[in-house]
Amino acid sequence: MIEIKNLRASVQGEAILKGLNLNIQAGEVHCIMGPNGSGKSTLAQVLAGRDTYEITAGSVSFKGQDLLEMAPHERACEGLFLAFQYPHEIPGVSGLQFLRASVNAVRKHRGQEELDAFDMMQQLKKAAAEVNIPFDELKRSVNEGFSGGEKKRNEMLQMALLEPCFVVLDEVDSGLDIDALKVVSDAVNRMRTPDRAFLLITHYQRLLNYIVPDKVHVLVDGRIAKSGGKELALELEDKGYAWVASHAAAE
Amino acid sequence: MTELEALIEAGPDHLKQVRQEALAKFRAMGWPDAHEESYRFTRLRPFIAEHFETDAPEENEGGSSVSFLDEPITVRFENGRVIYPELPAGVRIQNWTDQNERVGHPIEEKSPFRLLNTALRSSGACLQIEGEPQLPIYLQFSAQGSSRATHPRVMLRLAEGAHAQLIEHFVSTPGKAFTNAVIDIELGANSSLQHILIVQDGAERYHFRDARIHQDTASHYSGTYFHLAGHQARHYLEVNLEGAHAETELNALLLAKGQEQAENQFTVRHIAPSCKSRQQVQSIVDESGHTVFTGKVIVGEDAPKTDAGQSNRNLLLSSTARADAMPQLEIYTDDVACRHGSTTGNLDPEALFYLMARGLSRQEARLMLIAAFAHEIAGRVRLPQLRNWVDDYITNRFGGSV
Repeated sequence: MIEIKNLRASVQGEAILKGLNLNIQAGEVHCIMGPNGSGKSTLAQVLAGRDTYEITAGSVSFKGQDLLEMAPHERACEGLFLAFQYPHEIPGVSGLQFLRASVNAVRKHRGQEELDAFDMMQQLKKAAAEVNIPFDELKRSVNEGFSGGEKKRNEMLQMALLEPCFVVLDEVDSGLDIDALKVVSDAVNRMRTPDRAFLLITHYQRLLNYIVPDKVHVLVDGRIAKSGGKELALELEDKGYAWVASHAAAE
Repeated sequence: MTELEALIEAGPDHLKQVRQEALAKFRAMGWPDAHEESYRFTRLRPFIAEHFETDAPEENEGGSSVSFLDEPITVRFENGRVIYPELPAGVRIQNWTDQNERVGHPIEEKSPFRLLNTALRSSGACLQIEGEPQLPIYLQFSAQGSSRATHPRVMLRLAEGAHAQLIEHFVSTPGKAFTNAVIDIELGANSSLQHILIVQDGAERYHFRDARIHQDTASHYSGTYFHLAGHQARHYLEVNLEGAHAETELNALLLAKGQEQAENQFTVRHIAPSCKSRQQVQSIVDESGHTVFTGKVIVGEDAPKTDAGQSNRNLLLSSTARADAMPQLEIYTDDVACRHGSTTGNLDPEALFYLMARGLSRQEARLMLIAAFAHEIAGRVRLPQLRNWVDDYITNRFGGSV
């Protein structure tokens, strides 16, 4: 699905990603853990195409295409979805208007017919109910005045509607209580199919009790320092990131 | 005798003297000087260098018209002619030649544009409203031809307790031309007016406007103004809150693209106590466009318990776009609440990225954010058809098709 080779990226001249390699196959769920400042969110933003980061070396192949050559909306239309750590508030643009435009932009790109008003409404109602968003909330401006949990549920709603093939979840668990975490992880688990891949980015092992990964990677100072199965997350919880850092330094 | 004097000579006798005096005073005063503070940003020199012919006025007549609204009461001002349908009870229109309005003695007038309008009025109407006409009154000003000057003049009086909706729509064909509009509005006690102005001028049109509003006790004025297109425009507006508990709400959106310049110069005078005023002025500026907002609030010594607020927001879409904002407060009494705020900036890059990350192209995302910004003003229009028309117009203008 996605193959990242020797990826280096910097922001305002400061190197953040320093030669990152990662391979994710369709059907797999990978998790990246790591201390603050290790480059986790940078990786998420770079994959989605944020232009504040400069790519200084490396390549990313997405479904056989050069991802780094694609504009952010092309990546989204091709099936890459980033669930933002801090979903942006957009005053004046209603949730309904935004979702309609987004769903139809993606459908158009994929050669599907745009949904008419009735079909769109049916889809939105069903998808909103699945993530416990009252339909009337979609009439409000996108994310404006939403709580942390509401914003994350809204991200899950968008994910379900856009039917991506590769999902990056950037700290989707931050600021969530147990109930909201359950809603979010159910939304992800419902989407798990053999033709989709997921990259979870998180600080805490807690999320992995709800979304069980196939592989866990530890990111330290812009590079994958250690990879393993889901048991690696528990080991990390026990020994802390310093253990991986010293381990990596010793290698 | 010059052609302008000849024009006045040919007009109605009872207005001759006031028109001649206005012309004489205009000649003595001349065009404004760019050094005058209130014309600081106005591009006067190219305008003054132009030559325009003034049309002779014609008599008003009955007739009917259609527009983008369902059956409003439509009054059309076509170059020199005023055309209007049969009017419902409570609405009266007088020919400008019969007008007995408060022209204002030229001696006291300081605005050269108003003096010129008084002297050369090419068309006009005096509307009197009683009760509550069910339909909005729609004034459509259209001007054809090149190098023409039109000086439309409207007087609107709402009787005590009357409620009305007024839409003014200026639409013009391409070609160099000059509109010099004057409107005076008097709101009787406890009356209310919803007033919408749309200026949708041709690319070479100069548009100067002088609007003055007088509000009696507990009257309510709500003005929503859209300056959508035109080479250069200067909208002067003054609101005089003369009776206690009068309220006024001014919402305005200026668009400027290419080399366009659009200016709002608002003065709100709190003369009586316990009045409330709100101003929300926004502009969207692209390419080398330029917008100016001067918002003056004057709170007189007899106006305690004044509540005044002003907000100005400007959206700049290119590095050569410019917006100037000058809030001015003059307060001569205590016990007053006055607030103002002003922001100028580009489209929010985080919002653009968020929309693009959901599949919208840069252009689609940009348009969605521009439309949302404009809708903060357009959303205040209560007539749904008109509101949608304005939304669509703005989307088309920045989507490249207008």
